[in-house]
Amino acid sequence: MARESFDKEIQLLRMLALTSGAHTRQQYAEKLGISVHTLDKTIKRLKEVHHFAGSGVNQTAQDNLAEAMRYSYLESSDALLLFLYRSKSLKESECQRIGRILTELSTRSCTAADLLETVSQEAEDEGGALIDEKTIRQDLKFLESGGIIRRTGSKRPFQYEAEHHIGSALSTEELRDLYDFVDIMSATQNPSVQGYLLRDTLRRYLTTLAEPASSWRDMLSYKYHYHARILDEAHLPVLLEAIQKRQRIAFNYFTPKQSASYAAKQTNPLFSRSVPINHQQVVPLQLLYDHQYGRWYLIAHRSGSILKFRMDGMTDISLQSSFPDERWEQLYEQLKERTRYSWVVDTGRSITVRARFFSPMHERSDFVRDRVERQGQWGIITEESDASFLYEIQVNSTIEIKPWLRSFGSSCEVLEPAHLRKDLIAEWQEIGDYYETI
Amino acid sequence: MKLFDKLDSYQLLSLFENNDKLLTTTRERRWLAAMLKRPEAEQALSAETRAKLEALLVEEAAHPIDHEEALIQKGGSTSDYYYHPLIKPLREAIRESRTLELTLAGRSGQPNQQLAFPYKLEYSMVKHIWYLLWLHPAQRRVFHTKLSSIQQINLGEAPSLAEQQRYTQLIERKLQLQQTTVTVQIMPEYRSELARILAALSCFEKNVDYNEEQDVYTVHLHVSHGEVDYVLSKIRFLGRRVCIIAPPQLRQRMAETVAKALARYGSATATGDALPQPLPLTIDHNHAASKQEQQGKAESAASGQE
Repeated sequence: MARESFDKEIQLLRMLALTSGAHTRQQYAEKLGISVHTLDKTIKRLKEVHHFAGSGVNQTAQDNLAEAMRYSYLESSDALLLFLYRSKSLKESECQRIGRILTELSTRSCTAADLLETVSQEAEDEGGALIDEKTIRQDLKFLESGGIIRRTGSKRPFQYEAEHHIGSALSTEELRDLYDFVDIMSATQNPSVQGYLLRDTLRRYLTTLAEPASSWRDMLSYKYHYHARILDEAHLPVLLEAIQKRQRIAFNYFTPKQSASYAAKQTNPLFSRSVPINHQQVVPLQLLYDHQYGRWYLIAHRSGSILKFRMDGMTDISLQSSFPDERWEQLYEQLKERTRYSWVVDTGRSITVRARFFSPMHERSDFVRDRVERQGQWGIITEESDASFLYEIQVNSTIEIKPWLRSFGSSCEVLEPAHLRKDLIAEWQEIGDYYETI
Repeated sequence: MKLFDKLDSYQLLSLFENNDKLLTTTRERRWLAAMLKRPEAEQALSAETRAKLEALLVEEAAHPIDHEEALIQKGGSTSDYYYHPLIKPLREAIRESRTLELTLAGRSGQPNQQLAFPYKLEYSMVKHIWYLLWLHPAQRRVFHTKLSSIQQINLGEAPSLAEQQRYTQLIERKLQLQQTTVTVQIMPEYRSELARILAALSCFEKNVDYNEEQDVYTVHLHVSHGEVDYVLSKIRFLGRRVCIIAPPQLRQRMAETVAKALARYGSATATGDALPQPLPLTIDHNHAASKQEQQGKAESAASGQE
């Protein structure tokens, strides 16, 4: 079977999600390095999936996928890009057959022979092609491996039944509670794709069971999460598999653009196409989610160095030869040591940062302190008074912590190291220039 | 294990649109089994429900999805807990379109009662707080109230269908009025960081303009007035990479921040010395509200927070 790659769809959706309609079809096609025809075909297919898999919100905005994505932010807590994970296509005949098998196994448990009889009969009645036993057995194997059906009993011929027990064991009330729980957990935990898929399944079931789809309304919402993060999740399974099996991987990597040259105008604005795509072969060690940007990273090893790759720049990942287990463990331990003080992924030289944070005056609650405690990672508060407190942290270089410190505005004054203090003064001065005239 | 699985296909899903069986895949169940181990499960689901699910998910629970140390997360908030016990009764009230008598913790410590038409529950991923959005029908005002400041709820009657519709429309109109747009330009010198900058802003509802002649990206962020402070902290986070173009009130607040920050460092410059004169603040009221919101102060006010 030909390998169906979703790289193109992922790149397109990410671009639409991030640039939300900044470009025309022609521009998007150019930027992705594909023809307008291919772009249109891809969009058409995605729209079909979106139309069906979407929650029914915004059916009017379907004409423009980017618009539909934009308006969905408002009222729905749906994972906007989830429909990507529903876009695997099946042959019409295969879809019919599997549908029949699942319907049959939802009502009773039966053997492959029973199924062959019913399913062939139905197919025949509708004028379809005959179905042989081998095909049915293959289907059962596939469905069993996905866990949507299971084998019961241990004696041949085996009986099969659909995995519908959660629905039958729980009352409607319990299913509603479960829906809320799944809703909350998929919105707040990573990885989340399986949670969103389950939420979707539960919603469809509940609307069939208890409430009409038309009156369904999302009652829980979340501000703010990074919708595009679930596109990165597309790579997690293969990378996790490689890590678990201690295998090398190969992939193509789009590096962030080095300069904003004129030539780069014709390229994907998110990645440089002018830089030749670079082919990588590495030993994957760890996957890391950065909450600050809502992005995943792969941390890997190659010839003595630790390398970091943004998952959104990776395409065509494939598993390669295996890597000695013992050596892998050794590298992993080294990585843990090297990244112990990484604010995110930086493996630069470790340095101590000291900063004074100022508590808001005349306020009942100290939201500055609260934020430092929540987000300050392993840093500690060393000294405090009513008006301010000192925060100290050891980090691998100051590059990654600087934006966080700066986000506090005038509530944070960096004391050490001197170069960071100097940098921040220079930056504030430059930012000041932006706002010289209001 | 493939992620793009035929089992998840929309084509198959469409066959089961009206199926009265809940079919799940192993991967969904493994995810659920892992989530049942989180402390939220204890409050979100009754002991009985959990026992039923755990019994059904024995095999799945043996296959953790988090792969221990292979997946890690950084740069977030240490948030401990995502559930609140009032979610369930409030969700029920919203579903049944019931009015509520809310007993709120007043500022002076005196509880105070309000008649409310509940609309939605909203979780702030930034502050880690659950809010109830509700309408005060008599005052025709929409409030965001922290669930933690609700002491008690009593279910009331459901208003007539016509009234429900009127209320819902009123709420949506009011929420729409609370929306504002912040326009941010990505500085051309930092075009090489475009992907990262857009990623940082991707949590907001937004649209992007691209000026081909000047090769400049402008991002319009659509947020409610109460969230402006969060936008500002993102803008400060991005530093020189972005510049607020509009509204002028926010440009002014950035100028004030710069002046104060430089004053901290004892290096008042031309920018710092010449603090711009305050502009007439047309969004003054909301501005003040948003400040209070940021400071986590107003939510427990007697009447909730608008």
